Amino acid sequence: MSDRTKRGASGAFEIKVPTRAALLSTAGVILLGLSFLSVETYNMMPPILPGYPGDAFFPRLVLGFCVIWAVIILARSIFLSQAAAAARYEAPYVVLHWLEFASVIVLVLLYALLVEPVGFEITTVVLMMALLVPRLLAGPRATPARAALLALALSLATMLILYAGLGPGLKIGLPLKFLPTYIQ
Amino acid sequence: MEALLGHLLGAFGALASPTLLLIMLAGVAIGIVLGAMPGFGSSQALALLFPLTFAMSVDQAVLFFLAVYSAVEYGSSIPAILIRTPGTGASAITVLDGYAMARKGLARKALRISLYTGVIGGMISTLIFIVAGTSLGHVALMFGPGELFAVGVFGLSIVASFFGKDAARGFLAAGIGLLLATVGSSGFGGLRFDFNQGYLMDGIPLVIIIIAFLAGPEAFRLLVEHRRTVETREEAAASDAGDLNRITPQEAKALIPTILRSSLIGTAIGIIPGAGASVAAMLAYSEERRWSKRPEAFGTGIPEGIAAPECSNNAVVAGTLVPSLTLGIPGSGGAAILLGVLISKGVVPGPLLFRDHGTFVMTVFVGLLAINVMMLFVGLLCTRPFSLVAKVPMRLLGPFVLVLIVVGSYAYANYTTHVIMVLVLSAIAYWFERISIPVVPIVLAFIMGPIIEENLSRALTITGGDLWTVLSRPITVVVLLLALATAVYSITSMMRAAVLAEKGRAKDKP
Repeated sequence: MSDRTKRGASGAFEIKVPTRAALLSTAGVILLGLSFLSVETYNMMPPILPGYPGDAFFPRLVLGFCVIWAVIILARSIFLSQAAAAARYEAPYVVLHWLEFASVIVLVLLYALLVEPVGFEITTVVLMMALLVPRLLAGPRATPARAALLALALSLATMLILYAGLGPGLKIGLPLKFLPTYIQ
Repeated sequence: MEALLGHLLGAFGALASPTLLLIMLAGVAIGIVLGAMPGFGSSQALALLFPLTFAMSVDQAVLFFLAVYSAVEYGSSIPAILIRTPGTGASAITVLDGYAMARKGLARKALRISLYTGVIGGMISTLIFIVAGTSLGHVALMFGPGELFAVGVFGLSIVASFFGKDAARGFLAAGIGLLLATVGSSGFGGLRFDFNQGYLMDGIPLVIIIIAFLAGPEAFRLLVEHRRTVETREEAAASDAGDLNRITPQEAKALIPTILRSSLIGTAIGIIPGAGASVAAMLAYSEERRWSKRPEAFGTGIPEGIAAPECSNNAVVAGTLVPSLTLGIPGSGGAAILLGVLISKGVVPGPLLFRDHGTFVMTVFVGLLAINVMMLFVGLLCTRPFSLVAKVPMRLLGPFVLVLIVVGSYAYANYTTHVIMVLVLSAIAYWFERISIPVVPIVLAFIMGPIIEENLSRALTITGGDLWTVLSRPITVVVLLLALATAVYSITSMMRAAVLAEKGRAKDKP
């Protein structure tokens, strides 16, 4: 952990999970997923060509491989002593800033849902501003008005650069609302 | 000899044309820009620019394409170094040391190492091509599906070098990558793990995997932990490492063996049809670590970690030309488009090309050397402005990276589902990184999966399901044994390093 990270002030909206428990639950979820996928391989097409081992052959091989390693991780997390397990982890706890994490997820989901009906120009500027304003406010000597203005300028510039590169530049059909389109 | 000199003089005469030089320069500039965009590999870039060649002569069209092809390989390393977003799969390895070096305030140095070694790699492989092009071409004929399956397994065995501290988590990650590669069409008529969802029927695009597993977690880290990355003015000023950005003569000298080894690896892998720049970069990096006196420093931002993959993936370009021009076998998607250009201009690739169009072939060789020189100058001009990205405060870089990957994944196929796929996979990758499940093996295994499976299936179909016949061919046996030795070596050296670290920790305890 760097000095900069240690100095961090964000204490609220954090989830602190012991690394051992995090790894245990992740391996458990992966094993459940692998079991589901293993069942799914029975719906795959049987071999139609002589010699071809079938569509399910390679996925089953890989699933078996994954199950072995997931079980090893799971078993190690359960049976290893606290000290031996701790030596394998980078840090004893995994800290997740769930509010920031959830806000990024929600913003990108909204972007994906709205980019076609609302248009590339507006959604890109709004997404960029929503991400930039709180980060600019966290900087030294920031005021809300200055942060908002700077965020707007940066967002507009970013959107225009992306538009110029992808639209006129590479002739990619972006869902545009008011900028000229270059694809018929 | 006389004929060779005649062709050489003819080639220099053709290359003296200002129009041709300008076309090559334009190809280099366009290639660097396209390569720097996530999703634009050499195949996509060449396909996009194909209509431009209609108005060109055969020399101009081929050299323009070669300029784009070479420059894309270099250009893709720029975002890999600056924002951990490789433009192509081949630059995924450059992320490891390139991004680490950039984060130390040495972005310009990382970009320069990538440029210089890439250019030298390209030139060495071109010279090899000039000297031994026709004889090397026949090596490509020895590689059937069985041998290519073995090459794929060899590539996968190298993945073990990227496991980090814990082999179990590394193997699980590699398995997840292989599993993701099986989604969609099997190539033999069936669909797998598509759950009747249209967006899964074509499989998960490689671009989505690269963005989600390499750029995605970094974007999340920058955004989620932004309050922890607020820099003071003094820290921001200190992030420009000034003189440290210069490559010292000692460092340059130390890189010579790396460059030679990686150029040879890149050229050799380029000659094998279907293996590609990603395999070359992985192999070169893994070999470099094996030869190094400080293998534990790989991944922390050392020059060899950038030089090896960059040198080899640029050397692949001339290597790919060997089977393409001498036998008419395209070694990669980009080479297939290049062959398309040749055929559309009435030039038939194959052994007779060297006899009937000797001057043209020599123009391609010498032109490729000139393209590398141009790439050096254009790259040097771009290094300083590109390196400014590394000076953007970390908390402000996050929004730009996220918007770039969101728009990039949407623009790849104008498909919002790709944005959601990137979001979900990035969130998973971020979580994996938090609990030390390495994500690089996922990407590498995803690249190797189809090479292994498709070639094994083809080989079994050809031999009527006789696995022994597939595995007992001489080249296959040698490559598979090499794969086994590499995997065993990687894992034992990793375990040895873990034991040493453990002993060190025990010693440090009072």
